[in-house]
Amino acid sequence: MNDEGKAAGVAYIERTNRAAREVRAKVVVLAASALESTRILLNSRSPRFPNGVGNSRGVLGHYLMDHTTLEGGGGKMAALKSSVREPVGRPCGYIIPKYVNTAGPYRNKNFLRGYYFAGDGRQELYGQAFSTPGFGRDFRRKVRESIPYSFGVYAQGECLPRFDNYVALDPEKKDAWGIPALHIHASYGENEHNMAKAMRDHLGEIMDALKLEERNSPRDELNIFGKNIHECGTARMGKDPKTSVLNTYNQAHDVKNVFVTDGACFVTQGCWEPTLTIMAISVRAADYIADEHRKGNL
Amino acid sequence: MNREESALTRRQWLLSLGGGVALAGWSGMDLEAASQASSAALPPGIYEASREHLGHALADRGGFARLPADSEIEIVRPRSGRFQPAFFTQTQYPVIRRLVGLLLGEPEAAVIVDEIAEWIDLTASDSAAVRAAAHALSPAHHTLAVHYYGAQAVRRLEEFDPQKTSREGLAWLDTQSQERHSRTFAALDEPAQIAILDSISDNRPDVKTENTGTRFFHYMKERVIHGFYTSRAGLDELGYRGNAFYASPPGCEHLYA
Repeated sequence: MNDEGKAAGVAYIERTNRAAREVRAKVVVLAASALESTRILLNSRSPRFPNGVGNSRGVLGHYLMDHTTLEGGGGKMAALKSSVREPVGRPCGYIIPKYVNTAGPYRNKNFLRGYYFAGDGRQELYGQAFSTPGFGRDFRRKVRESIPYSFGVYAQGECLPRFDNYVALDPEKKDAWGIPALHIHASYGENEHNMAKAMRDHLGEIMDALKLEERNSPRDELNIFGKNIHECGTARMGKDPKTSVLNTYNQAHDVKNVFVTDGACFVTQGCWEPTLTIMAISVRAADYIADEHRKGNL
Repeated sequence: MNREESALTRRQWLLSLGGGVALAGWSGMDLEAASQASSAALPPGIYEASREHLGHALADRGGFARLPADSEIEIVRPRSGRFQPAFFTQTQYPVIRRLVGLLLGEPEAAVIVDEIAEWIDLTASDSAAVRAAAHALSPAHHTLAVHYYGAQAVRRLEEFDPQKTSREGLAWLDTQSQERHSRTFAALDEPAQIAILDSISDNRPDVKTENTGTRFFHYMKERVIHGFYTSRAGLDELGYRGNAFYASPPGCEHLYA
């Protein structure tokens, strides 16, 4: 930080020889993924910012989100058994877009927001071999000539932002470079668990309608928090500096030449994958940076 | 690879992925050294096998692939000369090879029989290290592994002992052969060997009753299925053409006309 209260640049450790180095910059943009960007901010402590840059109100690190998933639904589509090998390609998944709690007719008052379904249908490659009895040439002929079709389905839902879900610097644990690591405090709440019940009911209805055989029931519980690796939040946007870290252009309220342009800025995450939104927000922030720089505001 | 290395290597982890599961969880490693040393341990975390390797297996028309000496990936052990089993004894290994041939219905001279038998030897010899690593997981990594792969899969990694299953299974085969024909299994003719396999196969009449022999059969068949159907020979037999896809959706062309 410099005397004007702006970031002077970035300190880093050279990977090959562990030398401590610095680069100077007029503008610092963090896009290290949600939790890493926040960790850098939390670790950027100085007399002026004793709790890290962007943390003057104690909001930094809070409102962590990660999509819920209810996984494991599926079975065999018995009517589609074949002896002809089909091409195996990637573009064969499907998505049933979110329909609950939208402008459409389907509402569920037990929870806010909603979820979508996704999965794939495909020929087994050789999974059927494990349940084909016997051995030898005859066994191989059966594996080759009787190819079952599998169908898989899961639900992914929105996680509400809660102050209680947060990351903070671990008082003891450090990373490989000696820099304090994060400790994550997170769990799914009542809204997510109520949503999971609806997910499970509808997954069952989909599997019934498809008349799936040799079924795998969807799991009883949501995935563990963090498994989806769609972590968002912890340096959220907002108009009010008391309740947010960044302004609407990803600029830190506390330090105007620091920007965070990854999932850390999310206020809510919807039920969809975050990457495209992150890209759009980044482009918008880049435009703003160029504009503000031209005006001499940074 | 240096067999004296105590750290679990990338290759060992890949080998343990046969069942679709791998865990890792130790810390304190130097990332830079890891990227430079071909036998270095992986950083803490959980790893899942990619199915993309099947495309490479299919493209491989020349038998074993040769990897550069400094490659991080250790799929194939470079060797020259006659194969020396790492786990099985000189008496046991020919029986393993024979069993692979019988399970596949291939003559013993087939190249694929050698490839699978060698792979079984490799995975059996590495299994103790994989099991030790599974036991050494930190509580946090263990919890994560259970959530990722299910308690059953994690327990199997911790408990299943391919060396014990094979050793006892091979001894069981010889005991049966002695009882029936007063010879070792290796000395029996093919019909007699197949008759013994039939009695322990998953096609046997009393399929619910398990014993040392049936457990060994189950293990060998699982290994042979993975080995064969991920090899070029097996993928060709399945008609697998790699990552191909339809140019237009069959049955729905009218929607895209």
